[in-house]
Amino acid sequence: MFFRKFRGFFSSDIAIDLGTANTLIYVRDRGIVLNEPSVVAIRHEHGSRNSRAILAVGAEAKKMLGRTPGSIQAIRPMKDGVIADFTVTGEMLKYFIRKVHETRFLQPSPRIVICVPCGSTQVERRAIREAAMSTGAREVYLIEEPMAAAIGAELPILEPTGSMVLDIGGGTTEVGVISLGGVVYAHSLRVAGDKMDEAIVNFVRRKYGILIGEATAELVKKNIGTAWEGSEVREMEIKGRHIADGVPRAQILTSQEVHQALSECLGGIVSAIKTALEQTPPELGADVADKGLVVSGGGALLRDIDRMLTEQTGLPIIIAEDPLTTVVRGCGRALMEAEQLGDVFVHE
Amino acid sequence: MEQKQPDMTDTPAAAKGPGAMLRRAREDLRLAPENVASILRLSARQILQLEEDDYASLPGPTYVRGYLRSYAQLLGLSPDRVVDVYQQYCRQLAPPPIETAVAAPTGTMSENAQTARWTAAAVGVVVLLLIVFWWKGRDDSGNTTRKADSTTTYVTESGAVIRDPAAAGGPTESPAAAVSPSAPVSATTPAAQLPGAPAVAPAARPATAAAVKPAVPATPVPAPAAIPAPAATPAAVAAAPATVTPVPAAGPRGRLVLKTTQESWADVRDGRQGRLLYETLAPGRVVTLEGVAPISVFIGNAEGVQLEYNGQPVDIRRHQRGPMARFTLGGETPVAR
Repeated sequence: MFFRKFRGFFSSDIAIDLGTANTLIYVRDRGIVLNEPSVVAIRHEHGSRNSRAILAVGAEAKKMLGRTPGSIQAIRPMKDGVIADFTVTGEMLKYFIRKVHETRFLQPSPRIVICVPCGSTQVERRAIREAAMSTGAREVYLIEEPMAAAIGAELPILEPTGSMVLDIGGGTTEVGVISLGGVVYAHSLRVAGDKMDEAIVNFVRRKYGILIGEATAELVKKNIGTAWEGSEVREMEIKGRHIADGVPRAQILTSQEVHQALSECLGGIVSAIKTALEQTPPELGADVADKGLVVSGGGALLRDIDRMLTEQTGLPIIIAEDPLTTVVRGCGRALMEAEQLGDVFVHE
Repeated sequence: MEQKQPDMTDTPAAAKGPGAMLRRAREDLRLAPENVASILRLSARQILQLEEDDYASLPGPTYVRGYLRSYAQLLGLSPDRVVDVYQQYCRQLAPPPIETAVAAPTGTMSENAQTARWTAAAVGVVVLLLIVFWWKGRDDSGNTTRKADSTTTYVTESGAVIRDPAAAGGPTESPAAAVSPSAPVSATTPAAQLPGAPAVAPAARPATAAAVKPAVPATPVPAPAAIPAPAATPAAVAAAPATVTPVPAAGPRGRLVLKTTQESWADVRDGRQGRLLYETLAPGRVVTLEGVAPISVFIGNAEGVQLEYNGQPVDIRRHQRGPMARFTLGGETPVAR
């Protein structure tokens, strides 16, 4: 324990957005130093049972997704915002933390702030805490994602006014209303970027009988995806395997079709916002109606999502600056300004 | 919707803020503030405040930036340009609150933190060195004490010389301590007596003898006790219980006799913190020690040891804590610790 504290003196405090799609690390006094996909490639050793070796982590491993031979498995250890494979998540975190401390002589033992979905269970939170501790951290603080997003978006969370935030990540969508440094209402929805990719895969299979991978679906979403039916129409050629013929086929997909594919997921998000507005006390609801809803996360980059949300909810919609890093910036600020921000961390 | 580039040449927009630019673009499109407000779901008042650069009445900078982006997009202006003008305007007005958020990645540690860490590392190294020196010094003083104690001669009750305590009781002390008792023997007894103790390692003898020789004149070992040694056979030497012949020295001294009925380890130190005894004693051994008072005694198996101090029996059980007993014999009455 003492040695951990000693090593901690030579480690920088870090904030981690352990996301389903991407892991971001913010290091005190240095800013965001790592932004890599939460993907790990594992090689299964021949000859010995259950023997696994980490082959690649992050961007390198993501390139292997769906393109691996039998002995290699590219997996995403996070699912729906929580840990799906504890050991691999721990290894991935260790790799990332070592990467941001690569010049250090001693093994790092930092203080870590890590975000968790507000809808995660005690067991899931404990798993995230344990995974962070397994990296050698000397202290681990958990912060709920809506709170981190609000801090990262520089909302006036300490003031007696309601601030509403929507974070559309890879695995979960978080809606939260915050006032006076506390979460008044928060809800986590397991519909987000991954579900949108899945919806596109299903749509293309249903409509054209072509099977595409999740990586292609993600590319479609990023390039021509739109949340608003009135958006400018765009087209993109996709390639996949025809289910009946079994041979590769190319198909032109339009943004209207993608909007059609995404409408169910987007409908779920709109419903979550409306439920949040219903559950919010009227005074805070009035504040939210006056100021608007701040959207962060990768989902905020979906074309014209602000227009769609404005139309559907009647609220002014504000897309956060650099929405992909809002949560990790919030974690970092919570770490650096813990005294000013008060007790924003989760207590088990 | 096509985006028009705002005309930034005719007005010093940075000094004024983006309000005038937005108003002009809105008027060009023949839109009323109410129309814009209904599209953006803001109030007409907020639209006018934006156009008048009256940001104090609006919510925080995050919201203002969001409103400006939406408004610019609606009017076909570049949202980034409008927000840039707003940022510049804010910088001119006051220290920008938006810049206090999160430091941009710089790639280097802040100098203060780095200096503090290097200082801490240097202090750590110095402390480590001090600990090492202290440890080594402690070892050296231990050796010195043993050398001083080496004036004590171990003699069996039958009078035979024991050169190595390991042969008699299996001591657990370090080799240096095990060899030291034999040194005075080799130094003070004739070479002819040595065949009586073949267990002594020849290599150890010269070194220990050299260390003890200067002390010989000051430590008159009772010759009669040592002389019968040659008569003893090696087997007898190994089996016989050991006694220690005290060596007179200056200062108050105490005489301690330990008799073991069961196997027990013992750690006895005198007032100079010199180790008089530090070994595992076999059952049936009788060890006589003499040292400068107070003498601290630490016995591993108190049930199996009887003790006499200056001829008076000591009740060990009074100081017993579990199987062990620890106490100091400093004067008339033993003091438990």
